[in-house]
Order: sequence, then structure tokens, then C-alpha cells
Amino acid sequence: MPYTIPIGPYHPALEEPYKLNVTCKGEVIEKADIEIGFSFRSIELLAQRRNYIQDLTLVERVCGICSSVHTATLAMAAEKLAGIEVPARGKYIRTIMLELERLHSHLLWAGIGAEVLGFQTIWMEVFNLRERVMDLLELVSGNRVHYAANAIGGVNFDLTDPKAVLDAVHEIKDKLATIIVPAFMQSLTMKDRVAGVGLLTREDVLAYGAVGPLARASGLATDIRQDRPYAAYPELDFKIVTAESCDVKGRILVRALEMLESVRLIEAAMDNLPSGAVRITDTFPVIPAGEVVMSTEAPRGEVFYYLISDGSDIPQRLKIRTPSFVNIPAVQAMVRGQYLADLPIIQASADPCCSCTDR
Amino acid sequence: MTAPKLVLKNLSSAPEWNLEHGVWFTTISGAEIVAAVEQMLAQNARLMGITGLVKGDETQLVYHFSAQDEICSIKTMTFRQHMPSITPTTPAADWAECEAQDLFDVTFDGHPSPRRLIRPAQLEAGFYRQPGGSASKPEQA
Repeated sequence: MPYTIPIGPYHPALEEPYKLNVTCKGEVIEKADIEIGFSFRSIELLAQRRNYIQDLTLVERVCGICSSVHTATLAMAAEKLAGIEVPARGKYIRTIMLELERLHSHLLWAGIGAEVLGFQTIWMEVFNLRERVMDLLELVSGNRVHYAANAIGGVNFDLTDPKAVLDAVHEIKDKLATIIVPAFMQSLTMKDRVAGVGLLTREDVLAYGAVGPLARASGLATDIRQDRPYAAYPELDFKIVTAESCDVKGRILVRALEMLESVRLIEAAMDNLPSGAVRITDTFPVIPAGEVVMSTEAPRGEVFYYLISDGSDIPQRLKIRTPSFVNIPAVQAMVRGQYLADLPIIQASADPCCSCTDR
Repeated sequence: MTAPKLVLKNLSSAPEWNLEHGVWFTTISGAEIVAAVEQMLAQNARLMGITGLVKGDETQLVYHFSAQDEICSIKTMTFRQHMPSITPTTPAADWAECEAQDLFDVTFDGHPSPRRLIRPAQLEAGFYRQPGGSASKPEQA
């Protein structure tokens, strides 16, 4: 006779607060129902009562892990409406911050994934490396999280010590390539543990509209940085990493190799960093009436903002759709027919961010 | 360009696409939303999400679709706060419709499991039905 186990919203296996009601027959999961909303803060409503300068600070706090991508998306949406051209150096610095954020987010996920699997040594190594990335973010922006990097018309700070940034990036790349990525890709224990676990077919990805590394691990070569490029991405070349295995192993592989791609992107951006201003200085941004959709590639997948302006300094409507809002429902397909003991790593492999989902 | 690569055919509202800041918009009747979404999905478009906007006593729902380098948004209006559900057509709409129900008090007819998703239990559905933009500023004396 099937029984239902409630897991969450606060549970050691869960990264952030949401609830899984798992119906099992023996050890095999028949279905999972998901409840969210435990971190709901009505950020969209708050943003529709504050001006754009305040909203940049507000939307940064949608998430602590992918904070810069939210401010970048809002800033670029407003810039699109207003026809503002960001200086080239500002675009490159924006891109560097976004890739550093992707790096720290993927390392966070890798550490949590290793810990959930019981691979404590790698969890420690990954979090140790992540501290170097956080140090670098603090060197550049002054903060480990919530960098306040983006303004409408550019970025708020310049890279005053490019050599220090490049030295740190080289150190991070070296450790990634020699310790972290091989640990995930060559360890036989790791590979056997996650191969064939948490299958999400390409058809399920299309049905649920899943995005980001979750979709790429099921063979979909889609990345907003190439599909609808923004910031400095049109001028920088990188590979879209995909896997065909559709399982947790594929998702680990995709995120591991994406970290290496992020490092290459940062190096390329630093090597080709244009000179000049980092933000517009001759005009104060005024956002005219109109509507625009702006999408970007956050660490977890596509973020899009739908901005409607009535010509005032306060958005009339600001819709925020985060990648976890479409990825977390796919957990229902991933756990069907799987063992209960695999539930923690399966749901973790979707990289669920409840701050983003609930807003 | 006068139209996106994605096309909508055989709809009585004969939608025309307008390009605004790189995004295609069109408006159709709410009664045809299921047919329109089926056509979009058949052309391999991905449903990105559904946005609700307060329009008097009704709600304008904007269905956003992504097809590689294009974003196409279909606008439609509720009738007495009702809209046919597209969740039976695509599971990607499940949470988006539940969210619109929570925030704007829209009823999606035919939704297989309408439920409170994102709304705190203490709040009534439709608490996002408040003015934004300049109308949200308190009146100055």
C-alpha cells in the first residue's frame, strides 16, 4: 500500500525551503507533489511602488546566489526601453561579474551535491575554492554577495587592479582543472552513484519548459548568452556544454565543464577589456513609456523580466520569471520510479533556488 | 521585419504582430488562447511564463514564448476573470496559472489541479490587484 512522506520545508536534504510530498510503494517513488511559497516576499509588488534606483537594490535581493543577474536584467530592460547604449568597458565588467557569479553558484551547487552524496572530501575542496571566488568578488565589488554592480547605463565600479583579478582567475582555473573537475568526472564511485539516476528525458524538458543546465544535460543546446546575446557576449566565444545522458551524472558534467567555460570567458574578457567609461555620464536615465521583455542566462537558466513603464520613475508592472520556477516542477518527472534514497541528489540536481522561485 | 518566424493561423481575431524593442506582441481573444498556444508549441516555441496585469475589473494575461532568438508575447483579456486553462495542453503552464490565480484572482477553467501555490494562506487571492507606476505614489497635499 503506498504511503506519503512529507519532506520539508525545513529538512537537511533540502538546500532551501520548499516541500516535497513523496508517495512511495516500498522504496520506489510513485509521485511527488511540490509546495512552494515559503520565501514569498511580493518583490514584484514592492518594485511597482519604488523608483528604478531603489528597484535595482530590491531585485538584487530576489536571490543571494544569482543576485547580479537580476540587477543586470532589470538594468538592461530599462536601457532597452530608454535606448541607452552602455559604454563598452561597462559591458565587459558586467559580463565579468556575471561569469564570476556563475562560477560561485556552480561551485556552491557542486559542494552541496557532493555533501548530499556523502562525498565530504570534495565538498570541503569545492567550498575552499569557492572562498577564493568570493574573495575575488569582494576584491572587485566590496561584497561577497549582493555586489551592487549594475546601474542603468553601466556598472558602478571599475576594475582598478586587473592583474590581481587575472592572477586570482588563473589560480581558480588551475584548481578547477586539476582537482575539482577530475574529482567529479573520473571518480568511479561518483559516476556509479549518479549514472541512470533522476532521468529527465528531452520530451519532459520540452513539456515542462525547463531551462539552463537541467535542459542542457538532456541534450538541448540552448543558452540565452548565444540565443539572444547581451552585454559583451556577442564579442566573446564560448562552448554550450551539453550531455545526452539525461541523468544526475549529466547535470554534474554540464555544470563542471561550464565552470571551465566561465573561467575562459572571464580571461577573454579581461584580455580584451576596452578602455573608457564604465557607465553613461552625460545624461540621467529617464525611462519612457513602453514595454519590453529582457532575458538573460542566470546560473540556473533563463531569467526574464517583463517591464511596463508609464513614463514615470516607477515601473507600472515588473514581472520576474526565474529559472527555478520552471525547473522545480520537473522534479516530479525526475523522481518517478526512482529510489527514495536517491531523492536528495535528484532534487538537488535541479539546483532549486526557492528565493528565486517564491520572490 | 513585419512578422516573427512563428505564425498564428485560422484564428478569428486575425492577430497582427507588432515589434517593440526587439519583442513581438499580438493580441487575441481569450476564447482562442488554447488554439493559439497549441500552434505555438507545434512550432517548437517554449512557454516562458504568463504575466498578469490589472485592467479595471478584468486581468490582461500575457503569454510569453521563446523560439531561439525570438520572443513572442500573446496578450489576451479575461472574461469575468475567467480564462481557459492551457495546462492540459502543456504542463509548463501549471505553476504559471496557479500563480496568476493567487496574485490576480483569475480562474483558469479546466485546470486539472487549481491550488494555492505562492500566496501566503493569510492573504486572499488577488492581492496584487493594486496600482503600480505613478498611480502607486501617494497623493501629495
